[in-house]
Amino acid sequence: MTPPIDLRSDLNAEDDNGENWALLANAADPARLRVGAVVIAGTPRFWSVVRITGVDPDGQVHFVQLDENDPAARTALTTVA
Amino acid sequence: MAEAKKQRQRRGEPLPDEAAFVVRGDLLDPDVLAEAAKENYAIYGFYGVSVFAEVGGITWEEIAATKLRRADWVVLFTARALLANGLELWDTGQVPHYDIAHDDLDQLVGRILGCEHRVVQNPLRAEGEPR
Repeated sequence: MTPPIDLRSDLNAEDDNGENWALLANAADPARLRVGAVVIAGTPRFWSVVRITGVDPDGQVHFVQLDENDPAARTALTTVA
Repeated sequence: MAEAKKQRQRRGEPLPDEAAFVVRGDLLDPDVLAEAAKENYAIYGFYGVSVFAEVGGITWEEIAATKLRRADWVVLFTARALLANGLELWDTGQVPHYDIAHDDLDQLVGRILGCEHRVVQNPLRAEGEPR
């Protein structure tokens, strides 16, 4: 099952710190993308539950993928199921 | 969006061995490649498509099991094939991340699609690992 994608992104893409990144403009609801927020990022075929780690003034959003067993990831998936 | 671009960090390493596999998660989709390259340009000021390479003793299978663990499919190139197809490999960010780069967006996407490659199931999926 593919959950709704909150942040369309290429999960291959990494920033200089080795974290994933995307554009804020790709968010379904940009207001949700605050540091610490747990959302679904990627594409319908290649997605992950992620935690937002930063939002830059130029619109670059940084995030890390959560392990499937992370309670926050489980909660996120339960919410959308 | 601000006009000023960020300066992309380069590691200054030699190119990967020509026989090294270069791996990208997911199937090759021209629209996805073009969008990724344009987003990279928006932030870093160059057309680049993210991949990972077998460098520093890291194998593509290890990359697929870690960086790309959420991908059902991965695409394998060799560094030799990419470079021979007129593309550049930039050592951006942290090992083993690279950008396949070209000055022209259409050329970048077209040359990636036209480069010899294999599409394989992520070994994690083949082993029955759930998503």
